[in-house]
Amino acid sequence: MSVPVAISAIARLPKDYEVPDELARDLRRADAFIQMAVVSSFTAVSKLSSENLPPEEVGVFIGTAFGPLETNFESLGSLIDDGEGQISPTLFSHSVYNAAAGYVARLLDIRGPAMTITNYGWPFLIALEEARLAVASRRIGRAVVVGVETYSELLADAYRRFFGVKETPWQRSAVAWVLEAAEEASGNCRLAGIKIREFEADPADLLTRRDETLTGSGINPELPRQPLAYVEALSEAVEFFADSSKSEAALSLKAPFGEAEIQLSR
Amino acid sequence: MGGGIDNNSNSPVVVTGMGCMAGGGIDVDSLWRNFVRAEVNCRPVPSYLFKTILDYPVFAAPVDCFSERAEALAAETRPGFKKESVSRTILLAFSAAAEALQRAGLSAEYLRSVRVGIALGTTVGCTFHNEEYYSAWREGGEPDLAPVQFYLAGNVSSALHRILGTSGPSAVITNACASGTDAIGVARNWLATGQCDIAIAGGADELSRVAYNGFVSLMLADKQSCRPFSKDRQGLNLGEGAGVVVLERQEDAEARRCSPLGWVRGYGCAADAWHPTAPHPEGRGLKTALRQALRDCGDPEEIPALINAHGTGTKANDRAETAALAEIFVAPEKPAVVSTKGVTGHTLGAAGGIEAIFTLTALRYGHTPGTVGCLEADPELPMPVLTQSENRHLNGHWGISQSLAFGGGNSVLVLEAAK
Repeated sequence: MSVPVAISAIARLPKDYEVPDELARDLRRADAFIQMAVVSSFTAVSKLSSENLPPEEVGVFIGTAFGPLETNFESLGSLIDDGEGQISPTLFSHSVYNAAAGYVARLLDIRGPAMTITNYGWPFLIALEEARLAVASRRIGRAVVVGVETYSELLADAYRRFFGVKETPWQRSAVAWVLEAAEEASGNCRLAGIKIREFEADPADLLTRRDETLTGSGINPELPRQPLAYVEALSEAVEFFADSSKSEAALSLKAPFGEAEIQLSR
Repeated sequence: MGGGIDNNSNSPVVVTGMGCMAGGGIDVDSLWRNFVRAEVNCRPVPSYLFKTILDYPVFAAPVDCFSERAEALAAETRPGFKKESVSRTILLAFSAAAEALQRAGLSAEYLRSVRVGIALGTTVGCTFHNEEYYSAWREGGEPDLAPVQFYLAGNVSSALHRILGTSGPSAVITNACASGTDAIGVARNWLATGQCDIAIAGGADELSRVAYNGFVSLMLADKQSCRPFSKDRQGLNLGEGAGVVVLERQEDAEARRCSPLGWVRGYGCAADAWHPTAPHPEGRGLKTALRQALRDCGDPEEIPALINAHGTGTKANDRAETAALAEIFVAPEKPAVVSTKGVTGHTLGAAGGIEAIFTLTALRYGHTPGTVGCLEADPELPMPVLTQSENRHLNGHWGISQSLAFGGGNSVLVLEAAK
């Protein structure tokens, strides 16, 4: 028997975010990807008014297109510059895509599922759906879902050359949502369902995010051309819905690489 | 239901196909044969993968890892497909998928008429590791963008959808060494909740120079063939490959008169919340994942006949893993605990897929080979394990396949063989 799932909290990391004092020591060697995933999760969980759950009943789900790519390149650079067998163990372990989920789990004492999902289209939505299913089926009582992108200079250069522009309109960002079983939740917005359909597309579209739109939200449908813009816009749309008197809403994402629908209800 | 285990879902999920392409075997039959014969194909890194001055051996798949079966399927589903257009990880995954689909008796036409979910685990397969491009770009050049396009077209699950012409859910799980196990668990949940009609799930990973050097720098690699659980174990050998299963709801498989190979009965996934690379010394997260997976299949009273352990051959992994098992399985009668890494190497994101296939095959045949490379078990391990010479008859039909990962991830599948 499945239970309704509510969106209990949302945290959008500001550009000039600061690492909270209580996390600073543990994050001193972490790269930006890990830091942003942890700080956004920490901020979202801090907003909850619901009761604490046993750590085994909480999970973390991270969706990312490019993961810790800059750290991956630092590892590659170290291999080229310093020679074989000389990669810093910390650098290498942080270049693994689920390093951030491991940090979030450790620093927020999350001992349920820790899942990282990679996709160049809408990885946050895939992670969100996995989290929704986990809560709906009562496998866990709470899920922290994170979208995080730090990009890399190499990709930014590719963007400029693909697109024939001088500037890359990217800014690194992270957003965390908290999902809970509706009867436990502190919010008033339910996540009723997510449908995602992928299309075959020009790979460059996955980078340049040409013609990506979000409709049904009451906000500007045109999304800024960056891979995490859809998460920022969805977060705004959910907050808009929560403050409205509507009983339900259907948010539609469209892009050359796919379409998705997110159903919200009270 | 067999073996006293139950399934909480109204729609039991069956395994109808299995496929493999790896250093440990180029298909399911050869993989099993190599386990039974204790065939160890651990060798220096072949030049067709990358050049290295280091002398840590690996388990490499053949230079041409795109099987004839895969080539024929791709020619049918995507005329004009060129294997050079995709990564080695995708070729490994597609070869394994082609074998699994053939065993499941699923035609390309049928696959296009239903919702196909593809969940695959990988680690190397999602990174950009074109050294030539990176070096040229780093020196201020403007290298041709083809490698970036190659990278952006390289999502393994999306690529398989593209080549097969299928549509449905798609996820690449990047949970490091537990990715393949998690991918099967995710796909099983998709089927149980009606997200798709058929699922292709498992893991795939090619060998990369960065990962190879990374494990060396972490001092986790062995210069000899690895010896999981052994008293004198010194670490792991990397390997490459893919292991893929086809999953369906039982009623759907029965409707098309396909006899299942077995069931995915339970799945658990839990974090250690402990350390970036080392497992919790008592296997805290693994115990949670084991309990979840066992609860998922109705907390059977009987012990599993077989436990495929992660068993990498590193000091910390083997100790933590057996500590967790000893605490969960306290009855005097113990399940057969084995590691496959002595035949496959550690195939990272592929390991969970390949080892699910091993587990189900052993359960179907009713016997398991011992742990290849382990001549004398470490007496300090808290749980008895099978050494290389200890082949064992299996008294039950269900077993466990488990994976541990960097970042403290732990994932467990409960599998049952069809009688």
